[in-house]
Amino acid sequence: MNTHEVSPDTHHDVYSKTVFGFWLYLLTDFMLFATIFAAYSVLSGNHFGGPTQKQLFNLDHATLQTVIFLISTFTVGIAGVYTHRKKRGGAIVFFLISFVLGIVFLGMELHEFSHFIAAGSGWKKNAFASSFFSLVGMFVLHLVFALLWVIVLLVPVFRFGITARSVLRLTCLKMFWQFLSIVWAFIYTIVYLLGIV
Amino acid sequence: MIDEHHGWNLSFKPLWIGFIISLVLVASAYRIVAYGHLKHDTLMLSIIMIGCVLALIQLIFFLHLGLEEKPRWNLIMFIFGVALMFILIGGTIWIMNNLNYNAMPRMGH
Amino acid sequence: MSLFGRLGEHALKHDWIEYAAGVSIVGGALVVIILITYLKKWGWLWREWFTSVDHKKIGIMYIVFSAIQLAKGLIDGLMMRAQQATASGDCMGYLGAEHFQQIFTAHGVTMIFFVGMGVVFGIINLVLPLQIGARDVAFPLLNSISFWLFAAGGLYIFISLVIGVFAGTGWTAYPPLAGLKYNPGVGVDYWLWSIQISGAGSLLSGINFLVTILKMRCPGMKLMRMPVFVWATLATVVLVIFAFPILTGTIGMLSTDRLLDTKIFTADYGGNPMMYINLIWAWGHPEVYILVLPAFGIFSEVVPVFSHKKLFGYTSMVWAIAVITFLSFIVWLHHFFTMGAGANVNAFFGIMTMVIAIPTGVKVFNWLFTMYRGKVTFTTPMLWFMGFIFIFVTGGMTGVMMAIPGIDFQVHNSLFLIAHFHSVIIGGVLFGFFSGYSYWFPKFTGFRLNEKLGKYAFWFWFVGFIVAFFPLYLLGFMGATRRMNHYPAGNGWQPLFIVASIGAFLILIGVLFQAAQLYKSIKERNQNKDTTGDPWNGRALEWSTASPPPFYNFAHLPEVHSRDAFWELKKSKKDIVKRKYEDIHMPKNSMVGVNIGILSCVMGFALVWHIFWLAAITFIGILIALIARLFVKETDYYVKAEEVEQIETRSRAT
Repeated sequence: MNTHEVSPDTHHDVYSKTVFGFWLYLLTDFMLFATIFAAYSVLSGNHFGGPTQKQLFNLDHATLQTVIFLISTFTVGIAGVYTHRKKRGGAIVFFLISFVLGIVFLGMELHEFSHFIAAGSGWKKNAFASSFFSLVGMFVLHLVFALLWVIVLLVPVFRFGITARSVLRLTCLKMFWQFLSIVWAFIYTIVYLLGIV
Repeated sequence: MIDEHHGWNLSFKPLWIGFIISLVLVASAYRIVAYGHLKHDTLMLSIIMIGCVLALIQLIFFLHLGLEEKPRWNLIMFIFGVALMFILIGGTIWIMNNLNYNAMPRMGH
Repeated sequence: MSLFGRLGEHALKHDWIEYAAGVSIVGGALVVIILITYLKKWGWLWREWFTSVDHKKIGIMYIVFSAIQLAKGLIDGLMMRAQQATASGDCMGYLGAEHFQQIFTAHGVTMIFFVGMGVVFGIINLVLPLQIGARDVAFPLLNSISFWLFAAGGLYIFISLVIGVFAGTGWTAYPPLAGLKYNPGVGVDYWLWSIQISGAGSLLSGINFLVTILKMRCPGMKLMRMPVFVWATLATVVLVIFAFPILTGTIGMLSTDRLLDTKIFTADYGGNPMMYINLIWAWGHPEVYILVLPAFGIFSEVVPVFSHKKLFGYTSMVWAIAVITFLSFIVWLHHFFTMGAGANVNAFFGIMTMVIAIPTGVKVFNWLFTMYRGKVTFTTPMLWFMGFIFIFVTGGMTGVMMAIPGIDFQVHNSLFLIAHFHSVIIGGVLFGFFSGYSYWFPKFTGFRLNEKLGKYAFWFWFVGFIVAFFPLYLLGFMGATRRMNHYPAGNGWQPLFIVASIGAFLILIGVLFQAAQLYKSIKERNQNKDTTGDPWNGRALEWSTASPPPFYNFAHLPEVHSRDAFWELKKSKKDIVKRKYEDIHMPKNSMVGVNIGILSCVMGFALVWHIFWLAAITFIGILIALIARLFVKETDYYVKAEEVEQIETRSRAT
């Protein structure tokens, strides 16, 4: 009999390894933000005569941003469930909702950046502004990647439906988005709220 | 196919729970900052607590931290990482504060 | 904005020594290129090596690249020795101050990043999957990408010799000197992108190896049955995963200071240069444990084999490694005791630094107890271990001395410090690598190294090191600071500098013996074949494969029931039940790694010279390369069982 066995290297292994590996990547990304947070903590009082947090931050604006991102995180989680249930329609719709909310968030943040610059607190002006732009700017950079990633992954899902591979990749994307939400939770509380009070 | 098809990957419930609690937390943070009359130190502490709980809720209900089966490598690595982040940020604040006091010129102390 | 940014003819202007260096590098590269073309080996190189995702090939490429970097770093060292031996009193030596600064900066960067990290990742790549009974690492393509990012970063050291200059700030590039105001030129930018790009590769490797260890051990290999080398690797990659992001963030902020004129580490506008020192060492201290822990792992493999006795104190070894891992994150301030923090802060970190010496001591005693009452044979790998004991332990002891802030205030940044860290890095990391190199060479090449030349190499390295660095301990006590290109006459320093340069020369002879050893061994490889796969009577699973192992490592994944898995298998004299061969799932080669390496190298170059359109294009190119890969369907293939059978029978027959 010539039935050759296949060595134990199932798709389950690939999923398990990849999700764990991606989780580890997220931990390194947390650490990266922690480094910039550390810098912000030290420099947040160094305005060198420029505008302060109390003068620049807008509580309503920041809270609205936070709620919008929270909703987008919720919808991305929903999209994840639809993905695991192999429901192409649901997955696409809810990833797109998150995408749109992400764009809105991005717009709001860029608006805040231009407000900072106009108020004389651009990233070159003083250490506080530099560290603020570094921290929130790094967040924006990550968000831009996430948005690009949504498009890149949704195109094959739209054309070919949900395969085992796309479950894996969309799960990683979903995790990335949720990771960003946690980073933002700290930015909202520590940068904005503590800055305002 | 154990890993992928854990209950939580297929259920909306944890997402709803996490979402509602998070909204409540953000709303309460907003309230105490905008309308609260807490003392400054208590206010700061509350804000930090809310932030930590907000993060934790999302870690558990969205990222399903700690719910995997043993060995819980995700959780172990996460705890180690969090400890190191506290050490890095806390240590930096401690050290830089100390340096500022001891080594920087006395400008507007 | 010019098409070429700030690149111009002036970038090629150098002094005669730099011209000589540049010419030899370009000349050397041309010779290699012409040779490969003449032998018509480009196709082979591309197919078998550059696009390979096989951990064994990638490991060898890391080591070859590191060897080249070691040559460059040694030349830097010799040049510094020559300068310091002569530049006393009226004599200014032969190196200008700015050139000298670039040399000691490049020396540090080369040795720590491109030799140290290179040999660490090289050896882990080679040995780890085999020791845990796996066929490859968790993410083979990522492994290739990591290597090419590493190589891309390493190229800047060479490129900067020809086009532009390298940083003259010391290998840690402290601002404000490294900031935009005081160093607006390209040197620091070369430094930044060299480290940022190779650092990304290191981080990805860390993730790769951690997933490999935790998820790909063969059946039966519980954690407490893993070889200690694997434990050491586990600790190392945990450190990589949590420490390297700190480096990324910190030098990222230095980059924005330089590129975007942010004020994070500036001396004015509210910036805080001291914070850079704090953050860079929060990475820097774990980094040195990343370098040395694999060496400890290597010795834990070598010492039992050549003492013919199992490792003493396995459990305490594991605990020691775990303790070192955690503690290495709470000692970092000892690198800047003198920066001005108060007594409380200095005392805490001083005490922690002394505490971390304890688990290291436990390991040293365990190795010695392994030798005790064993039948010790002093092969080359074992000689490197003996050399390590003397040099690393004295280096470690001077480290414990400097853990005391009061003492450190006297010797910080003196040659005493230099002698200390060279003792632990060379005595620990490099001797550990040389031990592993001699030990595992037959496994990965199929033939043995010439023992006699190996022993000569060791003795010249060992004696040379002592002659080169022990005088530096004395010089440190006599007040000599580091990084000096000239000193006054008549203070008694020059004789010691001369002795040190003799030592450096002895080390050079040691290196020449290593080169000769490699040459001779290759020439005589047919007489020195390793036909059994187990030339040293080894204890771990890598020795159960043929030498070299087949590309899939194991025809059947091993099943393990104890520590020292291969040793137990040999002892039980169990006949290997001839099981049916299976199809084996293997990943295909890929050029994604090479592409990303080339694109990042060009991108970094463009950022250095402010050729922003080119930086943008190459960055987009990297994204496209990654996205394109997502759409490739045929990324793996199956090796048919019949082919596996053929390979296995062929190798057993020899």
